[in-house]
Amino acid sequence: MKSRKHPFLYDLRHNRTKWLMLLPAAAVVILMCYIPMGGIVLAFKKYNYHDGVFGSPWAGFENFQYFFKSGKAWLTTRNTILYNLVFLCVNTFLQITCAILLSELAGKVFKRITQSVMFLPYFISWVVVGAFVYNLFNYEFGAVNSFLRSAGREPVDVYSTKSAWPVILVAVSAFKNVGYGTVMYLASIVNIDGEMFEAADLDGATMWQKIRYITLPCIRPTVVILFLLAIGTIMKGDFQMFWQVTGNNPMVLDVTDVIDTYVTRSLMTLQEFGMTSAAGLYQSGISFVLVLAANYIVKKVEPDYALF
Amino acid sequence: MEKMKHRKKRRAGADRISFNMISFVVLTVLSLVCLLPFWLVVSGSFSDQQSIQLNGYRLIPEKFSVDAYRMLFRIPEELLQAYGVTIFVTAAGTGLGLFITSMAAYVLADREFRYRYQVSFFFYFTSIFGGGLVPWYIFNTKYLHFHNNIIALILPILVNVTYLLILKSYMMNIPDSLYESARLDGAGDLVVYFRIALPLCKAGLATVGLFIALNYWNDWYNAMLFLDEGKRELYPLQYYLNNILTKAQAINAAAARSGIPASDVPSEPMKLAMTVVATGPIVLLYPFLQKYFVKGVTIGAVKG
Amino acid sequence: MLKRKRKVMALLLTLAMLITMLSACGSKDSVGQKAADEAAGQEANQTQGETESEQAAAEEPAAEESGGPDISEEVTLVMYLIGDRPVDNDEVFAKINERLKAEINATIDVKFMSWGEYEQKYPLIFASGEDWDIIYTADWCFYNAQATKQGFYEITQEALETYAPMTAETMYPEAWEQAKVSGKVYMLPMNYKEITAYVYMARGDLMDKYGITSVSSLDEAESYMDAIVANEPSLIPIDVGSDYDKLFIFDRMWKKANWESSEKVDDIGPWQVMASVGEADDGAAVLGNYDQPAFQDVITRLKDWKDRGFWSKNAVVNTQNNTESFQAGRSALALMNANTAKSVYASVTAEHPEWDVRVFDAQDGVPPVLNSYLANGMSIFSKSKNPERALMALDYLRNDEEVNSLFCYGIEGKHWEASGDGALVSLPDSTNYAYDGNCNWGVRNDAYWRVIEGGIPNLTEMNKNWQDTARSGRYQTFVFNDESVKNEIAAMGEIFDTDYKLLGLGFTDNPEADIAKMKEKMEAAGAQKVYEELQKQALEFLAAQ
Repeated sequence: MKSRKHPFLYDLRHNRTKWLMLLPAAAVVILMCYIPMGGIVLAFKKYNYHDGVFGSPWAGFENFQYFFKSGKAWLTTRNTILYNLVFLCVNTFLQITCAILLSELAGKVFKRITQSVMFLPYFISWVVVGAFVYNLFNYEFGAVNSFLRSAGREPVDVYSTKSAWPVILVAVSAFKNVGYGTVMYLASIVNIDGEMFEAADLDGATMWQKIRYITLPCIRPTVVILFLLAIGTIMKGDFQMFWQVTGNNPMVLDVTDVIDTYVTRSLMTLQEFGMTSAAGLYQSGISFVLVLAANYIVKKVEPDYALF
Repeated sequence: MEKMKHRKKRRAGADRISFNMISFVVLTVLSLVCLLPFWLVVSGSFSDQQSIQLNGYRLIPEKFSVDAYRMLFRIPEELLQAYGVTIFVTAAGTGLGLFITSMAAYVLADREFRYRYQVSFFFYFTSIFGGGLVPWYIFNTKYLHFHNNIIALILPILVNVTYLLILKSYMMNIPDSLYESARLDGAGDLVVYFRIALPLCKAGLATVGLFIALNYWNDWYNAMLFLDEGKRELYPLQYYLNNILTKAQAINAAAARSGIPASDVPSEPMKLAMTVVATGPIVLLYPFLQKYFVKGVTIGAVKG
Repeated sequence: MLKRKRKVMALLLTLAMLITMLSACGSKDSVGQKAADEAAGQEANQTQGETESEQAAAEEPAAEESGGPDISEEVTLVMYLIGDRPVDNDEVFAKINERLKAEINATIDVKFMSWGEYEQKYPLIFASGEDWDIIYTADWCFYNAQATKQGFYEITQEALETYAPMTAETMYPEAWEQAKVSGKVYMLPMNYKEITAYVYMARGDLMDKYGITSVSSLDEAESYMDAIVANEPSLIPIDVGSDYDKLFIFDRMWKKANWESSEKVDDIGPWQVMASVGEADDGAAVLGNYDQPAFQDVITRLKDWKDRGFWSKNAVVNTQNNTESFQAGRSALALMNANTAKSVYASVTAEHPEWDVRVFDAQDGVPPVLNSYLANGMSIFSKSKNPERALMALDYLRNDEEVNSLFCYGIEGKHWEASGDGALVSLPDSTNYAYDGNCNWGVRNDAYWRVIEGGIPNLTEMNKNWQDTARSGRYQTFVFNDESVKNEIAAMGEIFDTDYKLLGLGFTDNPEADIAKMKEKMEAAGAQKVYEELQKQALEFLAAQ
């Protein structure tokens, strides 16, 4: 009888194995994330060491001001979201393509080698990628311009050409992430019930038909969940990528500045924890709203694919 | 049966061949795009400092030199020790992390678990909101005593919520009928988890395991935050290599300060050699995992 | 079979639960205790503070009677320095500790934060509750930021006299004044008058080739670089642009223009706010640099230089600084401060004697200015358990010739050799403990300072000239309290890093329009408020003098 009043307690007792299986992961998350989360109050505090995180005096919304003061809030927010959307689309497309090609490929050795090779860029740090980009596009001695000069053409000054940077950034992001992301889709493809393909073969389906009607629908849940997860980080930029690849170049900032790089530049010497927190809270807040909306829509259409 | 299969194969032959041709070309191009920069890294790591500074990266070292490696391997015992720490942390962290993550993912993937949305939200929330570095650091050092503790290298990245949710989506792909039949046989959750969910989700586990392992392998941030400069025996590989680089540069600066001309530290090739040294062993893990990425075998295998 | 599997599973599960339970319990305890701990900690802090001041008050006469503070208990002080541990650091500090143990019954345990990570770690060790005592600090190394967040122990005049009598006696009064943040001192600034003067370093072989006799003014540098552009296409004349030297050329031109101006314009306030004031102006009218009459001329000349190819078209993304480029043989001219020049000169002449490198005074008639004393200093952690002993130890590090020389130069006879009064020669072992390279800068002391011998032939002559002409600006000891305008400074810092950097390297098609554009942005960021605050504080400063 009691159990009907407390469905949660009932479930806790009835499904105790399940709850116990959740416990270790939950404990780690509580320790590493939920307890320190109290630190969010720093965004509204004027922090000092003596009074600590909770004892320091309140500052209201003062810590947020600088972000909106220099008029870059809108620009950087827009850039961050747009870049992330383009990265998401381009990378997902390439990753799925590679995963399908790899999964259908016959040559075993070739397959293994390509798969491993495509993973290599993941290990090249952004600092090194940045150095490569610089060596390619430098005006005086970069590889591209050396080539143009030797071909009798005019060299191009990439570092002051705004339109070049979105393309470069999308390219390096794809370069670093394609191999890594392909694995996720590959895992999803190999999970597809083999009988479906056998049945299709019997019906004389072409490769394209099998991909179109079996593979793609079957990996849809993975695509949707990765998309939702990406929405959750849409306000964060891969800081190292933007910082190192563009060399923090002021000439093209209008098209390369994202929230994280902007905040780093502003606060480099000030060391104001409250201001850093405030920027983080702004990013989290917007992401949260977006992800709630996206998740709501997904849940309406296909409840199984929803994040929560 | 055999014959039929044979015929079927031939029918689909032409189609398959053209598909294979296309894949072959596309993948070869992509592989070259990925391989070339890495080759430049390797070649650069065997170059001498000045030729990189003057002429940039070349496919073949302009002036061959192993100075960068000589600097990194100067104290081989320490390097081995660092490899040891990294391997231990990676193995322990990946094993435990994968176990914990997959258990939670199993429960969240269960459509009969009433609170799965709420609990998923409980996990997901942490990937959006965080308390920030300072409060996190204070809590970890003051109350969890992470300072100079190897736990500090394991616990912070033990459970990654993104991977948890990805693994959950893989597990949801397993047909419910398989679970149900096992449950009808009277199997409890643990048995279903071990005997059905884990074997059927090998590719997913391999993927997430690989990601967790890579995170551990590449992590130097936690080492930087929590390890003292005197605690060298706990330095993981990436942090150790980084340290050699800054140290070498410092020694060089020191020499210059004293008015003594120092032999130049090959810092550019060293950065590249660090990539090579750090990538070496972990890149071998992937081919080993590839046997789990073969299409359509898992479910058939269990059923058969 | 099944049974065994079950057993294994049960075992695994118990293990996992055990681990989580342990950690969960641990956390629960600590969470529960957290509040209590904090409360207790605060109380303890307060009482400690009270007893400290009481003690200090009570001890003063007592100290006089018994001849010193109570040092009966042996303590180990933890000192944080920035940089990488020199190979012979422990050996040097063993000697320092020997003496400290005998004098004040304390020893120092040194910890290093490397250059790569100090920006992140520095604030964290204040927050962490870790037990440590002394730290290197400077105006560029978070002194203001940590002082306003109560990270440092306040050093009162009384404490100084009681625990650091030698320092109290030798401290330059203007240094003590400079160190004040809202009227309180949290740092022992270096006891060292440092002037920063700039020099050009040029390739003698190229100078002879193109008939250039001297590169010691902007005009002469211009002719030299013209010759390089015309004849040496593979060389960049001067490869400035990195974070370190992005404004070097601008500074040369700007300082010269200001020195020659009638009201002797000088920079004031933190660099991000880009403000200046006329020294002759008693009203201390603070203007943004962009409003100074000379600014546009300087930017126009920079644009002209940049357009002529004096530096790279991609200078703004340089990661190497101009001295590194010069050493690598990519550029023909380098601009650096005199200290750097010594070391660069030594390595370049050794590696490339054929370049016949020559060094010239780059001050171009502008007298060098005394550096702020806050450019280096030492502070004590506000939660140090032994602040008095830390102060005593710092007293010895600064003022005891033996300890000071050990810290600054290493062991005599091993790392260095005295060479007359006030000079030394480095010995080969000094690569393991370099001259002035061990984050010892905070305890530099004019009384025991030794310059390094050898190197640039005309340096002594230039040095003499600089010493003779050096001056302190009117606002030399002015320290700006940025408390009320932090948001504005953050917003302006961003503009400094972008628009100002571009102008400072001549990257503009239309100086007038771009200056106006920057002015507009600065005003939107609240420049006027900051300048008014600066003027207010500057007037207070003048009134107090």
